[in-house]
Amino acid sequence: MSEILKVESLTHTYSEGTPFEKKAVDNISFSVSEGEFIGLIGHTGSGKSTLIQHLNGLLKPTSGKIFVGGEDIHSSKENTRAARFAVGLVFQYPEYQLFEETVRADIAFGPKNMGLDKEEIDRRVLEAAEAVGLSKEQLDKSPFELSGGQKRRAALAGVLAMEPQILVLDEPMAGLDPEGRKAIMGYVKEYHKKYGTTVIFVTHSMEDAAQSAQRLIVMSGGRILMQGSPEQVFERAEELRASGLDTPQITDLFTELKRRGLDVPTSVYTVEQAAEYLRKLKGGIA
Amino acid sequence: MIKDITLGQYFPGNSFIHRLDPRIKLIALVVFIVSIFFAEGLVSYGLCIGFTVAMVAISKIKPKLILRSLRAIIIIVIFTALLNMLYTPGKEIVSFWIFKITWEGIYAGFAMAVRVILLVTVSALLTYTTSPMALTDGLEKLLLPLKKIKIPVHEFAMMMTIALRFIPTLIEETDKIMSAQKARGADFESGNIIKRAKALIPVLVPLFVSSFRRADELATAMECRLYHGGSGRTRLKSLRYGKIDAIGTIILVLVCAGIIVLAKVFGL
Amino acid sequence: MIKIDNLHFAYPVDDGEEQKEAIRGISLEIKRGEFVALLGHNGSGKSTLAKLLNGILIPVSGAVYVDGMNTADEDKLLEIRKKAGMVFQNPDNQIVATVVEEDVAFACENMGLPSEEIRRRVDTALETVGMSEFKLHAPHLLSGGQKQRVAIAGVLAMEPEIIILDEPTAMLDPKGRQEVMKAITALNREKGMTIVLITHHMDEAAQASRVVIIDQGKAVLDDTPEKVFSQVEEMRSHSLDVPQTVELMHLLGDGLDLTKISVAQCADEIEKYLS
Repeated sequence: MSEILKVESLTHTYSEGTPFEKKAVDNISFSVSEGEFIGLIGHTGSGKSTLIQHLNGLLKPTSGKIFVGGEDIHSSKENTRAARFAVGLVFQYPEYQLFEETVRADIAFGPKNMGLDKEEIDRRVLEAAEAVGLSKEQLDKSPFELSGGQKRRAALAGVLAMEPQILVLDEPMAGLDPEGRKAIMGYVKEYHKKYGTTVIFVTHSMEDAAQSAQRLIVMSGGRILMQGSPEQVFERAEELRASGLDTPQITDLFTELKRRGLDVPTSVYTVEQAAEYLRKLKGGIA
Repeated sequence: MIKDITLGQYFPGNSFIHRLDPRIKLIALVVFIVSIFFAEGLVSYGLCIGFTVAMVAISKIKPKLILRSLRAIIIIVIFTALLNMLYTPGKEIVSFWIFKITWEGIYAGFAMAVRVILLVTVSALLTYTTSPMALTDGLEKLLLPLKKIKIPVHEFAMMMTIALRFIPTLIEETDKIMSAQKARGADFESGNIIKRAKALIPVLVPLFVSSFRRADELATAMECRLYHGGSGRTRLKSLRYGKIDAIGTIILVLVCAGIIVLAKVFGL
Repeated sequence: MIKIDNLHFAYPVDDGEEQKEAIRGISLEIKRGEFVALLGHNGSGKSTLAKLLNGILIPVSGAVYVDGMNTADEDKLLEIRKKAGMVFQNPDNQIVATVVEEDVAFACENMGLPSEEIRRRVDTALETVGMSEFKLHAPHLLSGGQKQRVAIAGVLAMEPEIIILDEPTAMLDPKGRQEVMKAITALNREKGMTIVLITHHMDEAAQASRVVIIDQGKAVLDDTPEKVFSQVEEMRSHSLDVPQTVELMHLLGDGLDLTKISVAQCADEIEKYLS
């Protein structure tokens, strides 16, 4: 797989030279391969939101470089603009950015800014709406008539319609109920499978991250605390808890079982894994 | 970024200046500014400067913060100083083209600069040492007589409090919405005025929508906390004219009278 | 403390639109000192129910009584709201003042209490939620969890007998959620405060002493958290999750006791299962 994104010694300091100076991102380097599904985890203030705003050039690094498809995004104005569209960034609570008279027009805002022709825009709007489960009927409604969950999906479609190479989602499920969370998660996974788009999924929920990501990057205090497969990361559950992150209850349960002297791994993070493991264990003993 | 704008920021503290009744501080501000404009000679100006420096020192507000608020008006200061310098008739020192610089001009220019700097310094000192709540409270109490002519003083004060409370929230929100639209390719920086104004629609519409929602939720929350207008309302910090306020008033009267007498009677 | 009697409610609609009932006949009684969680998915009617509890909304039919006072009685409204304090979802939209202690004082000021009494109540309330050291801070610079605790203190200062919290953690991160939940449980356990917590997080509901499941405007389940969560299929039919511990034991089957919801209890069950 080819490398699609590379972050090289990225540092970002807010309000440099004032008493409010704060290093939000501190010398971070990592790379992402095309088609990967990455979970970027960290508590509020860990620097993850600052980091992702660098990926599409919204923030300029204090030092360090970002390469998208091999190009330094700050080497020219054109490259910065290109990164804006190559990296689709969905902000937290994106429903608060809806403004057009119809959902259709709102989804078309991004593609329009890209200077595409009308036909192409229409095609993309329909495809994006379908990808998030919005009906044609809903496209002609005002975005303000939709329910909370639908609004969120419409805003998501607005970024999908730009057909970015990398999709970055900042807490896409924040504030939703279990049903709404499952729906969004489902649409994102489906989209990743269908189009092979690289996805960076930002969350403070270890559970959500573990459900879908192939690789996890855990941030703390502006640095990368650990990265690796979900199993590798959950192996270090204690450290995660110490850095203020929630571990899934099932991981906590297995940590407890291990403490009681049972021979179980602490890297278990889904209920299915756990059930399977325990059945085997019982079978082995019996 | 818009976030960096500071607007009448308050720095909590416990100095003599902090503890003064906001009403005294508001009146003092007006009286002192008027006195500054009476100043004439070096002595009266010296007194003005001395008093201001003393107040800053007592307030324990870092001089750096005062300087920061002055930075914003530096161009205005230089401009008014230059105008005074160039257009005051008197004994000529040098002249070029249509301008001539006179001794009187230099003096008037400096005097003007000093006045403007002092004016901004004491105003900044007021907002730095008085919480917005106390300030609106003070204003409300000072303007209370206007209630007799059916001006809703309490409601205005409440509106001001809420505005002050929500300015940082809305600035942050504007920042967020702008970033989100930029991520969808919106361009706020290029093009002519009409194009730029149009580019603001994607920011203003969501901002209005969310402001209405906030207003609605806040109104409900206020009702749940028993808000029913200004009648029968008491305050956590009820304003009371205390000993330090008396001391403050006496000092103020002495200094301002001093400035005016020195300037107008002795011409110093 | 609160008595809900065959409650019906529908939001007003424009002409021609079909009116949909948000609350379709709920009867409940909440006793003094209880910690009740109203659990339901978005659109289940749980937030509407919350707003009916202290007279923000007035029933279409049926009635809500707070300490014997009917919420439809406009003269009693202030009295009812003083007894039943309310905390909302978005901490930003319920903080009025620019200094923490002045915000906490807001309700007391509206009650017309003397300054000394307000000072005492503000200090106690901030102490209770662990925010004393922030009393002179500007609210907009606090974290979400801290803001929400300030909002709780603002309600506590009224010295209400019951606190209703409408999804107070929905907009917070895990740390903020923990802070707020800790404050809420402490209020109930240490101060004996009656709590009604509206939420869609089952792990929060699990900390209550009683869970009421709301779906389609009706109260469909009403029991202890252990009994409610052990009904895995029933919970799923109302679009709700159960704790992972329960889900695991449900998957394993084999006569495991599904009412053991905490990690430690579940570990006991697993040990039994394996032996």
